[in-house]
Amino acid sequence: MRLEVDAARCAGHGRCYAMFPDLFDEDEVGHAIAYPDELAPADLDGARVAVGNCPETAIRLAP
Amino acid sequence: MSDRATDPLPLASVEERARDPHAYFRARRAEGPVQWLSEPVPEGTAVVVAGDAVYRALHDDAYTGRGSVSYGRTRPIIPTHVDPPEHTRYRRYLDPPMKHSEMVKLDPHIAARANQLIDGFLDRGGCEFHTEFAIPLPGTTFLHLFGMPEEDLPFLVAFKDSVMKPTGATPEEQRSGQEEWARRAEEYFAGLIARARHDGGDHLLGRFVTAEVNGARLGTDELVDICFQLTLGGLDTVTATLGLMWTFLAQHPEHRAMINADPAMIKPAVEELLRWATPVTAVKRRTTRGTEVDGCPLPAGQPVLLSIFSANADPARFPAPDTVDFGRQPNKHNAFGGGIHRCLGSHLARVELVAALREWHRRIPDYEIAPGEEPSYSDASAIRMVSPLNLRWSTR
Repeated sequence: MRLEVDAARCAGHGRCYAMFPDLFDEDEVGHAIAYPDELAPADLDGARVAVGNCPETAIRLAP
Repeated sequence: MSDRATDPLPLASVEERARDPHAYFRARRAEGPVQWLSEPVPEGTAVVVAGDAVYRALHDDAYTGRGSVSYGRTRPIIPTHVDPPEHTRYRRYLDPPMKHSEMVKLDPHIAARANQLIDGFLDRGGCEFHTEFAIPLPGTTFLHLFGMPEEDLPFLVAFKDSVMKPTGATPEEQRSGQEEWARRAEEYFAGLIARARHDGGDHLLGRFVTAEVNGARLGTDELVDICFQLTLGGLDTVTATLGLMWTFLAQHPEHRAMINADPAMIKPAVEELLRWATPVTAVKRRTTRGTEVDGCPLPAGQPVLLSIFSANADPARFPAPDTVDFGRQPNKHNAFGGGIHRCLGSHLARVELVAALREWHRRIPDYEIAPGEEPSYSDASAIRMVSPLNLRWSTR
């Protein structure tokens, strides 16, 4: 599983990269970027929290 | 749901809405997805209260911020009152210096300022929280960040109050007072901008005057419009949030104990208290075309308030919404709005709130509302505040 951020939806709330800096980064305007790596099993719970918290419904878990 | 556009909201309801908005909006949602209120907003304003409808409207270009409010001005405030593509261009100037990684650098400054304020009243065993902490902490932080002299805070607070909560015996008097303060503030901002262009400076205004997007810099009028908006946002919203958070924590020792036991609880506590208290209770929009909300038609040009509070308190979106649960997961709240107009200052606000909670509870872990006092709530201009808030603690 990998994380994907829909750049067209992201509005830069930063909930994801502030809480999970190992999974996301901010770009030059503060919008989110998901690290492209395959998620380690230990990161899956955090990834799901990030998906559920996103105020823009911009994050998804992709196979 | 009312089918009349001008039903006045009784004063008792205004007071109930400020004091117990969860109960108030629960009752409103039961009546229908849209309400029409005449007080304290302009007559005929539609208020969307159904949570999912608010969420959809935040992301729907049938709603615009353009022409919503004037604060005694003839020009828009930027960026709230502009639409894409201009809006997108302005945010390209404004977002980079206000992003998360820039704002966290302010943490030591905010912590030092918080401790300075606490030094002033710690041994007294009490304080009036609103004027002694909630106003000066975000106020002086904003001035420091923006590049405004700290001694100008009283002028800027008077300006903010005068344009957001105009006073006067008649609507004409209120209007002329607003216009007078707006004009004075515009002159003040133009002076700051001229100085920043000349001197540069390692602050927001210094960065805004030199920033280039596609080779172009911001003009003076645009910069004044930006200063106007950012000052209103920077001086009011975090003040309101601090007051609501401390009112709750003073009344709930079990929640306070969680913060005192584990500082890692502060960030989730901030998110949950932002959701539960939603200090900016609504955002103003106008319909760009005829549309509908859950079957209720809205004509083109309709002034609309999107009740962020109601969306954050709707059980369809949050189970047990009245309950403050620091462990709430997921917590997909929209306390900073949503869509393209997401609060520009949200990253600053979070750094301020986290630093304030951390430093305060390190030094004043236990406190209460002074016996015999009731917190006094207001929600004028869709910002919910507690003032005065007299707190008391043991000095032994």
